Amino acid sequence: MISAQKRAKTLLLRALHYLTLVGIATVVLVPFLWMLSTSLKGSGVLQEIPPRLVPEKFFWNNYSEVLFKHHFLRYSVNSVYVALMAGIGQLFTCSLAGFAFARLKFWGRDFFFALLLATMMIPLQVMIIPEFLIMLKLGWVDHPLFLALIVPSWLAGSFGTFLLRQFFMTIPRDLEDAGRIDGCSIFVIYRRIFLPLSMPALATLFIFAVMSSWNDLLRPILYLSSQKMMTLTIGLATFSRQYDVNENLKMAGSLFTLLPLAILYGFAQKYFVQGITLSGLKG
Amino acid sequence: MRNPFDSTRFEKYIAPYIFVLPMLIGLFVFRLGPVVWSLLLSFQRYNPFQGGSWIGLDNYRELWQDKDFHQIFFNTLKFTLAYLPLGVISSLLLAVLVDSRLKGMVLFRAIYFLPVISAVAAVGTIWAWLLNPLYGLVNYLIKVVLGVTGPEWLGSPRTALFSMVLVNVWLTMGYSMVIFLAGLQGVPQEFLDAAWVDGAGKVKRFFRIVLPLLSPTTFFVIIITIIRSFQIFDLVYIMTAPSAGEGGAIGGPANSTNVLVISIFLNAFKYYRMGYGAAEAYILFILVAIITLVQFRFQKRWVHYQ
Repeated sequence: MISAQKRAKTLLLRALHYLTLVGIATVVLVPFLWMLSTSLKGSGVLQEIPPRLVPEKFFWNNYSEVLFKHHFLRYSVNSVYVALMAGIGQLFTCSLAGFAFARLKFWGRDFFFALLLATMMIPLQVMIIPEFLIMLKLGWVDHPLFLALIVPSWLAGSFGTFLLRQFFMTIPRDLEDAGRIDGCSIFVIYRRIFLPLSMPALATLFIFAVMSSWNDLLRPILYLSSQKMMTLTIGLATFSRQYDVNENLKMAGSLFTLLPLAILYGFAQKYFVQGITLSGLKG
Repeated sequence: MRNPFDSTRFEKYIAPYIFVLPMLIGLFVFRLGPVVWSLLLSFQRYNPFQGGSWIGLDNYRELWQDKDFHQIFFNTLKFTLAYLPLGVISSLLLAVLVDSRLKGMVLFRAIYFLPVISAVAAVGTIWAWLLNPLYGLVNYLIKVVLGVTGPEWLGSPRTALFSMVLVNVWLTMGYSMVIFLAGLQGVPQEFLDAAWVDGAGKVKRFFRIVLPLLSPTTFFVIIITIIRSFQIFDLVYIMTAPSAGEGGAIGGPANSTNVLVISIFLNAFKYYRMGYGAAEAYILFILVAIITLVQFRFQKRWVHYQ
């Protein structure tokens, strides 16, 4: 009898547990569902009360209107370009620097590394005004290659350097010595031994760099002003600011801004979580 | 034949600098240089198109007396104080819920983390629509479930900032959840088993064992939450689009959501008062530095490590 009672209690608790989980998941997901639903509605039913979750009639036209007439296709191409360039570039610069900080001896190494760590804790806002002035002087505002967005992420990837340095430190020194006995140069050791062994860390960094660049809003606001040169975030912000744009088109624009990264998240969730939490943990 | 363990001179003296060169350029051009430059700017009246003049501490003096800046500072503080408990408690709750051996936890964790990877530009636009006072889903549900008319959310100076606090909780709770989760999984099972043998119930075990052992994690989450609230920008920028409410200038309505970084942005890049903006940025810098120091200094003392 007692055990049956206990089992019933366990079951009830478990049901309650799941109910809470599902309830919270609903709160998290409803905004996304509502975006999807609104993005497919006609302009006439946006103010309908009660609102419908599943539109009576699907206006697929909204998507082509946003993509072609309102330039979201162009924004997407720009965003993909900037994010890939940031990601690939950081793989190079951060792995090179991370390798040197982990495995090479040179004058000023610990000092420079300490400086790099210290600057990670400085809020971006402290540096952004001079950075803007630099970009202005260089003529990189609205640069056709988006240099103002890409170059800082290449050259100032202190998180990536830190991440890869920590990872490289865990690679056994024997492997490096074996390479040296075979007469490999330091570049070959970096390229043929360290990089292939660091795929998980490189993937984490790549995903993190792509995501940061994709979601970035401040730099695009400052450095992209002509419509053809906008990325998705600033394109969407500018589009939504126009007073005569209907919510269905805004939601379609939001969908195109979110979807590519959400799909990537579906495949590489582990790397997203790792990159984001590690970047926070460093301070 | 040369000894393979002997690096050549090139490898010893030149190669390392080739490896770190890009990062060093970045460190000086995009980090250290600007930090110093910003400080110099804060002592000037500076317009990027007209040049600058030295005015000593006048920018800081003006900030000290400026009623608008007082409100901006107060808004930032209000945001932080409202967001801190909500953000920390909700993410701790989530972590406890998904720290379980029941089936499906991987999926729930993935869902709760989804907002963290989402572009604030999009999420803010969606929430502005959800919170539309007349036709938004939220006020519709309030009407149906509670039978009352919902608030104006972003449309009113009384509720706008708090609306953003709520959206920010939704946006970031998955992040702190993951950190709390790592902390929870570090609590030794033997402690819990021992307490269970002594007859401590689930609730008692949580408050007497788990929570104290979790304090390093909680401390870290609190610190990072405060620092991030001071730096809130994207969400406010997006959600104060003109269509979001009456008189919707950035930081509106009626300056009620004008927080520190929004003000830096407006002064530096809209009014081109870059010296004044730089002074505000330095105030932010000092605040963040103090909190980071508190973190380093007191971590060991306040926190109960096992």
